[in-house]
Amino acid sequence: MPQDLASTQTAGIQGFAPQPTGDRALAFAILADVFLAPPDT
Amino acid sequence: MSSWHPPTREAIGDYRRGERAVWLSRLEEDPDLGPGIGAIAAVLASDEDDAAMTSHLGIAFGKLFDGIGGPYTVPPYESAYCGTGHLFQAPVSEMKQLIAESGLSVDSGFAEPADHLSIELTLAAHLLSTGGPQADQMLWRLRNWVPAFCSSCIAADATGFFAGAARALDGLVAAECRKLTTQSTHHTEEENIK
Repeated sequence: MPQDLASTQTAGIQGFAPQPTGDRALAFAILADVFLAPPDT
Repeated sequence: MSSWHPPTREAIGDYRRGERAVWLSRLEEDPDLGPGIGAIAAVLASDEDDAAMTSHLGIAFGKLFDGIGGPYTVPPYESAYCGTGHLFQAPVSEMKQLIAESGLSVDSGFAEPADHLSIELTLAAHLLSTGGPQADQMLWRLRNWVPAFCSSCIAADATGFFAGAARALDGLVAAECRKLTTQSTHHTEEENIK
């Protein structure tokens, strides 16, 4: 089970420490990631 | 240059076989998210290789969100669904304030306005995970415009991938707001008993 979202995108928000404690926070973070996939590096 | 990008080949591979695949599988078990996440999973399970799927979804992404689809474009900004429908309206400054009040800031290199869908979802994730008092405000904010965005996205997306994400998002926001309403009702009943 994933314990954090350290590797997800943070939609350009500085200071966001993605460590959701519940699945609903995880869901919001993942859907933000789906709609804002990372740029090519 | 837009900061909103279609899924990269690496991301698609991760959604299929990596950490994101584990997350999607976990979320598919949630009844409010299951149908939408299942639709995403079905697309990812197709026979297309990662490169072909990246191209396929990239084209769809451009049509849906970058304006290539002309009248079929689904703008991912709150301002587009409020008031006159023009972009860069009051929701931008309101979101900037919410972000600042949460002790966060928008990266100066991020070219999208603060009422961009992914910024709002990221802030919601942060507020829910930290238990901040503004979490409820953020959820109601999303409830005001995300259903219209999701409805348009579901109707316009032919791939099933973004439509699935929209279906999951719509279910998630609706469920969270139902929970808030229930909590509020219970609170009022308790107050009346006292």
